[in-house]
Amino acid sequence: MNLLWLGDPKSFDAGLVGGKAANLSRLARLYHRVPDGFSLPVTVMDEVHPLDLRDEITAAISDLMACHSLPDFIAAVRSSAVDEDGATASFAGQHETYLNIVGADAIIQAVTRCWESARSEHALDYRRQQGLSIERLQIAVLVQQLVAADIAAVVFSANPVTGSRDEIMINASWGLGESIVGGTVTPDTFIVRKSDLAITSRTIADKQHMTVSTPGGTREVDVPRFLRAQSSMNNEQVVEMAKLALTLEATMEHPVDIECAYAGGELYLLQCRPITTLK
Amino acid sequence: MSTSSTQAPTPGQPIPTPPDFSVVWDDPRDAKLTWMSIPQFKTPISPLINAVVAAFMVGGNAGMEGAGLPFEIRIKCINTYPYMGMVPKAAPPEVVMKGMGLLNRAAPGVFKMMMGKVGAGMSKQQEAALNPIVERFEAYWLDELLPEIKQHIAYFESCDLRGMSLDQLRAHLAEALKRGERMGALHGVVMPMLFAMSQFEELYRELFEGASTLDALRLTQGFDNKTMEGDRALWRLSRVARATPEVHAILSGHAPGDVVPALEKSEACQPFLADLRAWLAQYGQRLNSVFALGEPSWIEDPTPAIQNLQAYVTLPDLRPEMEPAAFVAEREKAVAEARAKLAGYPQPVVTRFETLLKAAQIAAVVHEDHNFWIDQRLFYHVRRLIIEFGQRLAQAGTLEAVNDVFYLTPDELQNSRDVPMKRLVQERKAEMERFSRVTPPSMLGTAPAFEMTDGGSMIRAMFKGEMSPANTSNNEANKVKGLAGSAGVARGTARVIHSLAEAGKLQPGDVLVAIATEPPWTPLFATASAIVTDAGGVLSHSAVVAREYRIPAVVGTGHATSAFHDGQLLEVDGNTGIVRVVVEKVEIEEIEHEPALAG
Repeated sequence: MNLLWLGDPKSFDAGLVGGKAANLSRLARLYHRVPDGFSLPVTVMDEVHPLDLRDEITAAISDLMACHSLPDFIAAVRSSAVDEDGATASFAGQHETYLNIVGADAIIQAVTRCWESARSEHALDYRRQQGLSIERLQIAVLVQQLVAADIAAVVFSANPVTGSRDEIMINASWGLGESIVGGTVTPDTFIVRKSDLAITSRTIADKQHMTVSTPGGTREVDVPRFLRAQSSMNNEQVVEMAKLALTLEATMEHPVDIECAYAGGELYLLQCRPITTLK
Repeated sequence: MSTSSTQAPTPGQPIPTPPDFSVVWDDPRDAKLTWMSIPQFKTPISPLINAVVAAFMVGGNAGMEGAGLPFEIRIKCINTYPYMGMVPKAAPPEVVMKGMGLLNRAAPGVFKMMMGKVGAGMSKQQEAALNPIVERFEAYWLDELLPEIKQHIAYFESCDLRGMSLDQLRAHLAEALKRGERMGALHGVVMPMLFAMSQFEELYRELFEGASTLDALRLTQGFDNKTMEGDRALWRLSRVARATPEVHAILSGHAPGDVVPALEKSEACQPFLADLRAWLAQYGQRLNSVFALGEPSWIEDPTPAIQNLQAYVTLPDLRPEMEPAAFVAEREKAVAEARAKLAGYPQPVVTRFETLLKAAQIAAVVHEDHNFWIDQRLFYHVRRLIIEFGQRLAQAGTLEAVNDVFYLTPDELQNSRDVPMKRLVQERKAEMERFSRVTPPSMLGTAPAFEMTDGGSMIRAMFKGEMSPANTSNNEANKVKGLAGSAGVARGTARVIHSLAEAGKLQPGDVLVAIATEPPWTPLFATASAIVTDAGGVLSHSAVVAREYRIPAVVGTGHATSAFHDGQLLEVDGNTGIVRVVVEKVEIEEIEHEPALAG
């Protein structure tokens, strides 16, 4: 077995699958709607050419489609280089992202590209300069379902502006999360009081841009005018997100910063990290 | 003809009137408003027709009541010509107009900002009123409006005019005007069709960068409507005529007016004649122009239908617009492409797109069908009633001639015993005769001090329809710029047609140049190679039907009918909205022998 499913305890090892996949694996145990997928761990990427994994990857994609009743499997394929201590390094050829990859063949192609770019002269030079090993290529690849988000949000289980730990702050906007994370859109802001989950503040922004998925990737486009000043989320959605943040904070025993999305009316958890910069 | 001053009137100031058109305002407040001539009315309008038009228009305002418009349309007959005023609903209107004009002059920046805000606010109000209609547009038309419209038509059809006494006719006239007003209201509440098409067109262009209005409207084309249904039925009749030598010979060899008598005499032509009469019964309940109540309907005088058939029989069978399957496939391909592009977009965008697409597709049909049911049938029946009245009064010797009835008002007809009818008719005939030699000024009252186009999204939609402002940009010699109304480029000989009576001069392949084409004209589109109009926008009748016929159209040029004349070889570019003269004067034969023009 060369692939490791998200949620499999073996994938908790960041040194094996990279920090992101390890983190998502833990989250998948805490919340049932983390987009599903699998990792190709460093050990496999070091020894096997992706094309030799064709059958295994194809079978995995079929399983995922059957399991989630999907007509197509639309994936994000990400590589991450992994140091001995498990921290993710981000430099040329070591950190590729391919979004909106549809079907097993295209996914295998994307994995192959990750594999090749990790072995490019450019990447190897960089590793030499950094004094890193070029004998063992510490790279893992994560293949994960790409959720076609209608609404993306970043949620803080503490108010990062005031430092208050009694409130949850939600930033939400239309489309995929890139426009919020990248700061190209001013999102809607909701403040929720933890004690009774009351929405104490609601600022609806004029949301001008959004990221949408296009064949083979994503693109930032203008939000059509009719939608710009419309609230991206209703009260129930705000409260559902706040509850998720509370659960994760309790489990992690630390205020958290989460990325999540609504797609087809369902709330997906995309990422969760402890907030380290809290006052 | 008077020479009207070319100098533009000063904004906010009284518009000087030519000496032969001095205006006495019955209500002095009206002088403070702006009154525009209606392009379709180039000749004086009689009192009775004016009364029918006014009742219909009053109803129209009632119908538009719920749409959140900042103004209403008022029709005023000035010196025998109807004028249209857009009157602010805020009271008193003339003070509002003056105040807005002063602000525009004193602080144009502030005014522009304010109008932008007003426009945005109006859009919100109009969208709140109209979006619920757009969302159920099909049911709105089929289940709410059309049944009532058909009831009114059924009422008119059920009236046995011949069997009525004069008193019954008087009562019927009052009832007809009441129903006419209600039909005007129904005509008003159909107008969200323009909103649906306009909103779809705007959303499409927002979503797909670089897309044109015509790209957007392509997704709404190729649905069956009453206009195309009637035109195709007439075309099929022409195929029967081509296949029947006796009919073909009569159509080719007789003047339009002699065709029906000749057909009646020929045994072999009887089946065709029956088909023609069936067509007229179904589609001939139309006048030559919407308010042309003074002219015979096609049932009374089928000349326009015969002229179309005479042109059609010279044409070969292959007419793509008569075979919509390919266009339907083209539309469905465009719809599928748009859907594929939106697959990765947030659900609210996809939902809105689908809602507006559906509404705009139905609106494109209603755009034509409401005309068939309301404009054409209503006025056909009202004319029948008026003519019956005229016949009774002429028989009784109260009037000299049947058509004199048009020079009386409904009130005078209701109380005909006490009215000196013959004298009134003579006076009014003389007045109309006098003003028929005058060119009515395009604008009366007070010159507008600002543009009214930014009154919200419904106003934008109306300006894309028949209310499109005339293009006033500088035009080079031999070249006119208008709006791209229907895609494609075509060359043909110009034929400037002011009324359907002149339609006989249109030969296959000619460019039809008109002030605006009205629904009864559309069979000409099968003969013309392109359409050019003075008035109307991309959602005007001319543009909508030209797209269904797949012939290029340039609309809203402002002055094509005066810039061009018969016999010029024109190139009509429906993609850019430019019409230019290729050759000043050509004979048809020369075109055929000139290789450079062959393409």
